[in-house]
Amino acid sequence: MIDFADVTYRYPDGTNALTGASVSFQSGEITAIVGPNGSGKSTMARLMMGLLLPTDGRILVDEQDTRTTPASVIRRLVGLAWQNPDNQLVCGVVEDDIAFGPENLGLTTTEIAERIDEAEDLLQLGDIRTTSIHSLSSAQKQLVAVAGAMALRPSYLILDEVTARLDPSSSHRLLDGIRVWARDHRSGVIMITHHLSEVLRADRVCRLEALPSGGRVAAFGSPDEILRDAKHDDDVALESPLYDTIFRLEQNGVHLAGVPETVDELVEQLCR
Amino acid sequence: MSLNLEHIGVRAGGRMVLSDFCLQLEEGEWMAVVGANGSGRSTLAQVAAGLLKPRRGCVTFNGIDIWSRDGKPARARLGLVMQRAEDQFLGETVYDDLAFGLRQRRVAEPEVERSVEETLGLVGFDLQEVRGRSPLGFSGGQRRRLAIAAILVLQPKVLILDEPFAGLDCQARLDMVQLLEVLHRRGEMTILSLTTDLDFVMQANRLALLIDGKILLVGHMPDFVANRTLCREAGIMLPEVIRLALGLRERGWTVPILGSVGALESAIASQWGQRKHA
Ligand SMILES: Nc1ncnc2c1ncn2[C@@H]1O[C@H](COP(=O)(O)OP(=O)(O)OP(=O)(O)O)[C@@H](O)[C@H]1O
Ligand SMILES: Nc1ncnc2c1ncn2[C@@H]1O[C@H](COP(=O)(O)OP(=O)(O)OP(=O)(O)O)[C@@H](O)[C@H]1O
Ligand SMILES: [Mg+2]
Ligand SMILES: [Mg+2]
Repeated sequence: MIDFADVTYRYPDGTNALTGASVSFQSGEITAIVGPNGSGKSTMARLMMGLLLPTDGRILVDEQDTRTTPASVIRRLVGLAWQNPDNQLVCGVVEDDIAFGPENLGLTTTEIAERIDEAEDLLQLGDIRTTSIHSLSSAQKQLVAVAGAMALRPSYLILDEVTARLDPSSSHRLLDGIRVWARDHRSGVIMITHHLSEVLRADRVCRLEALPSGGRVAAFGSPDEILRDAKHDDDVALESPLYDTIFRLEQNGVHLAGVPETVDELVEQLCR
Repeated sequence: MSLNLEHIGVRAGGRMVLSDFCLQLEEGEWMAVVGANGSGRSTLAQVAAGLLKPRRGCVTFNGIDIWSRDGKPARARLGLVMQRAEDQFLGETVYDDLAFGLRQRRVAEPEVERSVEETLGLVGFDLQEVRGRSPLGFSGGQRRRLAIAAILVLQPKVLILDEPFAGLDCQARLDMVQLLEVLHRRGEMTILSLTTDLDFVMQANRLALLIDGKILLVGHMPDFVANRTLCREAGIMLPEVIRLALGLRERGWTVPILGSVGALESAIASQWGQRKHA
């Protein structure tokens, strides 16, 4: 469990990024973090990794306080794929890049090969395995960055808007791969996103709001609960054209059995 | 008066990313190019913006070859908002970053300040609040807005936007669409936007489908609906509400595909009622 207890973070230049956040992220669950731009999502990710330390309050990662535990210990537990993959990729060809992290953990060659195979398999990177990083398109770089983070097998994997620049088919490939990976290793996944469809497929949702005093946890619960209060709140920054339509249909007496995750599911439910 | 890409060829990584590529942007139009990952959007954006000199072909702006000896002023009228905002930041502070290009053009400082303040306002920032902060000390979505401001402040004639909506929250997307609409409607700017999906591009005058470095379709939403198999093969999704209408039609409903969202919703609501009774 990653446990935030009344955490406040202020950047050195005085910007308030997060105030009084108390929330916990379970291993074995996929938690989505949502909220408008500047509401403190990426800051929360940096805090979980021990890259930033709380200005106030404390964070425990599997019972270990990020303020007093060596960063190297925290970083074995918590992995991150960045909002911007170029910050993360090292060099060389794809499989060397994925191997870079596991090599630093001192694993055997067989173990390393196994992890590369697993990541490449889950994200279907076979055809670019020996391609050099600098000639990849940005989407491919994003997939490789996630593969590298997976290969470290952290107990918690944070994905900061990794699908933001992916087309729908690459997004699906990535999300499906992550799901299988999380299940196989019973890892926790923390997914920062602006996409409602990703929120609906999470086990748990943490919704932040942006206040002048910094980001604040406005709600924590199941996707259904979050959606329900989203209907009464304009400030959720989660609308999508489809869900606007669903809300309006409900207002016009069309009662659906559940919240559909895709257009096809909505069609199914309407036809039922 | 237009931006013209003629028979462009660009090679990278041992293959042609764009080959014999042609595109014409009329003055004052907004063209939206959609293409899947790796289809060549960023390469096209850089060629159109005069930041990448194509190996073959010619880019002209108002009839002037932008890579000829007299092409520099023409290139200065083209502005590209890059896919990664970070690639674009030039100043230590927000103010210096936005002032950079204007100062290079020897604009007087009071005028620089006025332009910077006005442009930051367009993307929802207050100069006094952000003036001394580093552009890198902003969140992902905020950086994107800053990057757009840094190009707008130079008042380009042609504004090229590579993935303008990535990383923006829903409200910020709507605000961005609205801003582009205003700039476009005022007729001051020709816009070329490049995205991976057809959501948020309804306001464009023309849509183009880019597949493996080639434009395979130019037209409007109905043309994309008619060619939906081609779109699907190219990895491009139609807007959600259109997919909903198409899906229901396949199941025997009578719903409008290209009408307003309101018309679709009332058609669904009334037929849902009828089906329940039946
Ligand atoms: N390095 C930094 N220095 C100073 N302030 C920062 C820094 N990074 C972020 N901030 C500020 O902290 C607040 C929270 O930023 P954060 O990046 O956590 O937001 P976010 O929720 O991830 O937003 P986005 O959806 O735009 O990525 C914002 O007001 C931002 O401007
Ligand atoms: N410097 C380079 N070396 C090798 N290949 C390259 C280079 N630049 C681009 N490419 C290849 O050219 C193709 C088009 O690249 P481009 O970046 O223009 O695509 P894109 O549509 O913008 O993709 P993305 O969705 O990743 O942003 C990609 O397959 C990419 O791998
Ligand atoms: Mg962020
Ligand atoms: Mg690109």
